[in-house]
Amino acid sequence: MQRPCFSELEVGGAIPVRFEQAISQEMIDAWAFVSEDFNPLHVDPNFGKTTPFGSTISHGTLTITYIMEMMTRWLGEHWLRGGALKGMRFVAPVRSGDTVRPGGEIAEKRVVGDRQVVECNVWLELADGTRAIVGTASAHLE
Amino acid sequence: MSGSFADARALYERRQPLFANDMALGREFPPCRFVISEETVARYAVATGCPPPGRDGNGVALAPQGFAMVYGRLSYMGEQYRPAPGGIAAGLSFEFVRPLLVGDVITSLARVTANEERKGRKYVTVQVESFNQQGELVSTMDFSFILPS
Repeated sequence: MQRPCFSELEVGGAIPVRFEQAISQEMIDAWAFVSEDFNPLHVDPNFGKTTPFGSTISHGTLTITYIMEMMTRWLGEHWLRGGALKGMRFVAPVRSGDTVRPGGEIAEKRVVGDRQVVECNVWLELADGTRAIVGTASAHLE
Repeated sequence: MSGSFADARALYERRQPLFANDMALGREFPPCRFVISEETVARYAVATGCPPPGRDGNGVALAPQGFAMVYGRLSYMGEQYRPAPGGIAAGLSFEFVRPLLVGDVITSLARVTANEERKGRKYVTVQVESFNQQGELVSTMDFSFILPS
């Protein structure tokens, strides 16, 4: 993907990366191994039924990676070197069987010294539009 | 972490639950080492459904940035702790300073920077600084969560 040009970015414009990911219990279990987090809320369906969620839910640490993936695909090295996520909040659960989509819009662009800074509202939403994660992302482009 | 899923779960359940009272303001955790191996990257790809991010300008294999979440959290949980039942994530921030590379050995230093009560709930913040094998800062993380006392 061609990296964006600061002058061409428009405040209010959407981050032009589109993908979605279906979440399965197998993926959640695999993430438990990667993250060493075997909290029964995530990996024990019988335990999940006893919780207010009524089922297991995905690790927030898994689902936030999709926002990072979106920013990486959009900005590449400009994101990997100098990017920031701020105030990320987990506001709704993601369950096995859900499909998630990262999204974002450009909230501000400014020049700070010799740096061109872009700040975005970012989120991860479910198929029905419910936002599971919200926050802001910033990066500087040369 | 290797072994069967059942074994890994059993080990996890034997960990000590981490409560707000365990997170004294200023507490520093021992350095935590995490290796971003090819095997770990492959497991990450299976878990997330996302392929690895390719190579940098020098042809070195990049590792997914989401590992910052993994080694960041492990820096205070380690192999000793699990969150006490009822723990909830409240807020999370990252700064990404350098790309992660396959083969990186990340050392993370975690410190409790806040432990305060709001509306009857204990909010704890852990700040983590993570360095690669050259001693270069690769990322920082500030993670706030609500923990039972």
